[in-house]
Amino acid sequence: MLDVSTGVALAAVGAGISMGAAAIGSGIGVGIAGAAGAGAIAEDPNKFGTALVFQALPQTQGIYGFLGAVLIMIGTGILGGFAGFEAAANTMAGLVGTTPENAALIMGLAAVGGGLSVGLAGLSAIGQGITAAGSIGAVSKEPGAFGKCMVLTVMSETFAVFGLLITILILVGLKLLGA
Amino acid sequence: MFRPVQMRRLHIVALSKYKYPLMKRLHELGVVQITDVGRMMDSPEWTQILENQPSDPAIRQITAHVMSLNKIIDFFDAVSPLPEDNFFKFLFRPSPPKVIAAEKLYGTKLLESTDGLLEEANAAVKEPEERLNRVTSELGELSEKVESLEKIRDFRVDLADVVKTDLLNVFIGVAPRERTDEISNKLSEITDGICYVASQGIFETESVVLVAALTEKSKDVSDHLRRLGFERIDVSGLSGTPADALSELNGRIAALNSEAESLRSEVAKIAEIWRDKLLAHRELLLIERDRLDVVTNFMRTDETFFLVGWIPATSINSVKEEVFKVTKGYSVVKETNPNPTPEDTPVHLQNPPFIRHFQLLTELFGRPKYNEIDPTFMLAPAFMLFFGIMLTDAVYGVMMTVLGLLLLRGGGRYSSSVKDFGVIFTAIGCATIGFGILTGGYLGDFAREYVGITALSPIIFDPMVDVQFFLILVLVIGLIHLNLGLLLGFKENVQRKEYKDAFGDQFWLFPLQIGIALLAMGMDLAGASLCLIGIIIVAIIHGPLFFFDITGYLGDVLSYARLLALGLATSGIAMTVNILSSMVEGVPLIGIALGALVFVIGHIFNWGMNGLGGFVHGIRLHYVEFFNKFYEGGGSEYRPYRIRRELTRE
Amino acid sequence: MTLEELAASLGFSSFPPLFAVALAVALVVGLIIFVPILLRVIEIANYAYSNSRIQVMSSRIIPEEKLKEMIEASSLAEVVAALEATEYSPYLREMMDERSEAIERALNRHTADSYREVATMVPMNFKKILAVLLRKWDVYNIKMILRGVYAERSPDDIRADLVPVGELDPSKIGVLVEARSLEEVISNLDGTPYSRLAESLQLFDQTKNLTVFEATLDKILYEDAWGYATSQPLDENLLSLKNYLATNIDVVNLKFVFRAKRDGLAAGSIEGYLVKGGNLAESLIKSILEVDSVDNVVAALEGTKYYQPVLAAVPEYESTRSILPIELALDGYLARVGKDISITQPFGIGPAIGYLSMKEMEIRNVRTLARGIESGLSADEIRNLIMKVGS
Repeated sequence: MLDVSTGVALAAVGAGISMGAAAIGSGIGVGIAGAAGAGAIAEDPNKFGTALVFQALPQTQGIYGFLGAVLIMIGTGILGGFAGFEAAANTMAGLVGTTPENAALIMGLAAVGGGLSVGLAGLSAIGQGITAAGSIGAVSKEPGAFGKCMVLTVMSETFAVFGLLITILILVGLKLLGA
Repeated sequence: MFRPVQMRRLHIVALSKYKYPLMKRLHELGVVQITDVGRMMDSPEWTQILENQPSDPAIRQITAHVMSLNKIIDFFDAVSPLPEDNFFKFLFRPSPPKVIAAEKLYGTKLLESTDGLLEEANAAVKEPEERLNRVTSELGELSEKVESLEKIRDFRVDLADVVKTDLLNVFIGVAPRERTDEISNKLSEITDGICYVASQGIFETESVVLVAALTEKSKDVSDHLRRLGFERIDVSGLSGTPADALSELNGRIAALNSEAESLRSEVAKIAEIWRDKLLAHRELLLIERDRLDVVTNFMRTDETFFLVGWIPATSINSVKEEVFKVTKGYSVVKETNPNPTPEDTPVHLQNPPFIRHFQLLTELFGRPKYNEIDPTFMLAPAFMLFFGIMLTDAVYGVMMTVLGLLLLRGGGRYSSSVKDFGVIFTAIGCATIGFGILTGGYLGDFAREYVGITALSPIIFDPMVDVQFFLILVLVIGLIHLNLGLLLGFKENVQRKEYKDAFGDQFWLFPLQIGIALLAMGMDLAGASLCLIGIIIVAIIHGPLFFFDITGYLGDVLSYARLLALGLATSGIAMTVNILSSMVEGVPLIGIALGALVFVIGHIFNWGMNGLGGFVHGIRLHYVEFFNKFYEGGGSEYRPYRIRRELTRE
Repeated sequence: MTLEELAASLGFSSFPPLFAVALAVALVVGLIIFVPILLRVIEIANYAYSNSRIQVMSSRIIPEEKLKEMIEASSLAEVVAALEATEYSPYLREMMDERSEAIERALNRHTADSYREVATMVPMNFKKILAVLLRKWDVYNIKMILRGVYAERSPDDIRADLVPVGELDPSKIGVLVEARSLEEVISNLDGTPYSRLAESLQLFDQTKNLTVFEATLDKILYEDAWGYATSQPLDENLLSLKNYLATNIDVVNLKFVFRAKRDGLAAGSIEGYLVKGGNLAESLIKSILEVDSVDNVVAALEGTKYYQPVLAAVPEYESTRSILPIELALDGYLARVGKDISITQPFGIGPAIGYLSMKEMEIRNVRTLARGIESGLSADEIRNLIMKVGS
């Protein structure tokens, strides 16, 4: 019986950070945008469509966090439980030519790194929520500004996209994902 | 198709007696955008010959009529509102728009006919309206009374005794609780003790106060009471205890309410007879007002008038013919091609049938300027491609297409913007189906892993496996897209003879990119020197801040990586939904139902969220990365002078 | 070096404890960074709801183009028809006759309702600041009551002119309206911030000029508000309020000075009416008071931010000899400051200040327009009376 418990723990931490931190970001961002949307709707129910679109934008980070967590869990095999991780560690050990214990540790740390990347990048949803809230106000006042306000709002998301991209590249680069 | 429609300036001089018929004909043709001549005629020579066309006095009459019509229509709408489609019905199963057949009425005949109609309609509405108003205001009074009586409900007094006689005046009301003593002291002081004050606390802060005083002193008494915060309650005409009076009042309110109800249905019947006629006349009057209003843009001499407008180059000949026909030849029509093009030249976009619907997305950013390229023809295919990559799932694509087709069959029949969205959704749905088949995405890995149809395996690559390939693919797509924008921008700048911008904004990137490609292929010397040339060009033109031009372009390219991220997000989450639903399937008894529920809701959620994401990011890549290279926007809208008919058909 | 060796070199028995410590440190650092952000975010969230509501409300303010069209109207009926399409329409429906007073009443009631709505929906810590701004309407109401009582109008007539928002209790207003003499009105103001009005009674008896009371009311209003704004610990919102108030005080003072100088009043008789506070230095005000003509007041303003707007209005003043263009320029400048605040502070007091100031301008313009059209002024004449946001 080889000891891979540290690796499993790290992988779980990575998946947790990925989802958890991104959820904080998305939750706060959606909340702020939602408050602004509620204000606009209270005055004019026809603003519902506008409010809905802008409120949905900061949700993406949460989805990225979720995706990051699932990819980590698939890549490290912990979706299949302890046994799954053990199997993945053995394969990994064969691929890079090291002991399964070391391979487990590498996988765990890769998971933590990947989780931090997408999770912390998910905090950009807070900023996006603020822009979205401002945009809801602006579009209510000037409906022609819809397209431009949307572009302004999507700007913050670029960093979340990069965060997810780096997570994926870490997992692929360390051969946790892909062929 | 790459440029907005060619516009010409149109000048017409004609005899004044043809003014109305000509305006009517142009209104029907609906292609000329009329501009204010007065603003162009600054030179004193012109102002000597020409004077402003005064506004037609009939306009005032029309406005008055429209107001009277509105009054009746508003009353009908308040009492028996017309049914309206809710949001979903509007999108998918709209009621056909209301059409009212109307006679061909215009000019004085229209005004006369409106006069008659108003008279008749007013006669029909007047009596029930007055009765309804009376009942409503009576109801309001009664409920106010009930409200104040509620305050003294528990005060034991016969309200019939609260009266004003020659000798005695009795008041009842409420006052702040802490002031009741002050009230009785003050009152006995000013009436020399000849008064009766009773009070009873009802709420925490208020008391019921009953005061009886001599009528000769009552003015003084009431003044002081008011100052002490006493609020009198009017109980005239009521008898019995307040509770009795309340129940009687409530009975009367119920009777009035049923009367109001029957009056309302009576009005609804009247509305059925008159509403359509009134609406039709209102629209005809508004059309007529447009016709009369437009002449204030003209200038005139004693016998002629002069108008200026914009017209699409293709419609010139037909309009010329019409003008000559209407004016029997007593007119001069001249068209010019203004050069240089003024800023306010109206912009009319004309794209082929399918591409046309994507104009919506271009205009969301900004209508092109008159001398600018119309990017819609490039936006349409690229947007479809991007969306397809970001949604990467054939089944989701089918869902998108079905949504688009439903919109087309539903709201698209009557609303042009719903139709635009219908076409766009159908198009991007088809693109998604294509890309989904190529990458083997059918509800994520559902078809392959759970149903076991190996025929549905990826054809070119599996996004979840060949991530590197996917990344390179999207970056290459991004580079192609960006360079397309750069080429266009370069061409535009050269055409406008803005060489500095052409080199500093676009050209320098060509040697730089080729140089990097050569470096990657191992041709060091040629590559490095090309890179250097590019950097030197931008450094000379943009100064020390050129560094940010380079990083900016790098950022633009990397930004296309979002295609990968969103594409993976779709398939990744689809996969997760599949895993989750197969996991809950293991739950005893309700397992299968629960699994199906998770499956359906999960996939719909994923489709919705990533559909929105794909749409928004597809737009963003165009607005921020692509348009940035060559497109500014901000042209003014082409608003031809035409009949705005919504309800009536002649 | 393996992780175990790294841990050992740092004095840990194995890697997991090192990792735990590292994680803890990262968490603490993260919190230190995150908590201030979070606090700021909570503050923003507070305003998100109310401010987007206010934005929607201000989108319904009559736009300048529409106002231009209304100026061209040839009768009040057309003005009413134009207003039908705005959010005034429910208030107009109750209107019995088409007189400018009736339009004004509709405006007043609408304004009262919308201000009350703004007052109820803003976050708690902002209610106090808003109350300061809304007291403007208390003063407006007291002015209307004083005028009405002075002209011996019936209580119901007076009441119809009031805009019942602000801090004065409705029952208090009821008592004030019922009064039959100015003394009675003023003695009934006992217990409100406006009780100081009693000090002006004597002066009024000498001059019989209501301006005495009106200037004193402004003085009380703005000095109290200024006192509030300067006594609180400054935060961003209060800073904006202070900025707006200071401009407001300066504008009130300058308008008063310009009027006095046109009438040729001496420095000593005006000084007592000027509101203390604002942006203008006391020495500057002193020197302005000493000069003897409108032109010299303008010259003395050089170097202040009021110079440019006032200067632009001088040619018109010179051709008409009316002080109005200068007053409009100053009011327009105030409106500009309000609008600027609303743009620069989207998550805070900004939109509310902007809304209140734009709304004030709207009511004033519609009122001017309705009165102008009723009394048969030409479109050009009315245009000269209309206030615009300064540039």
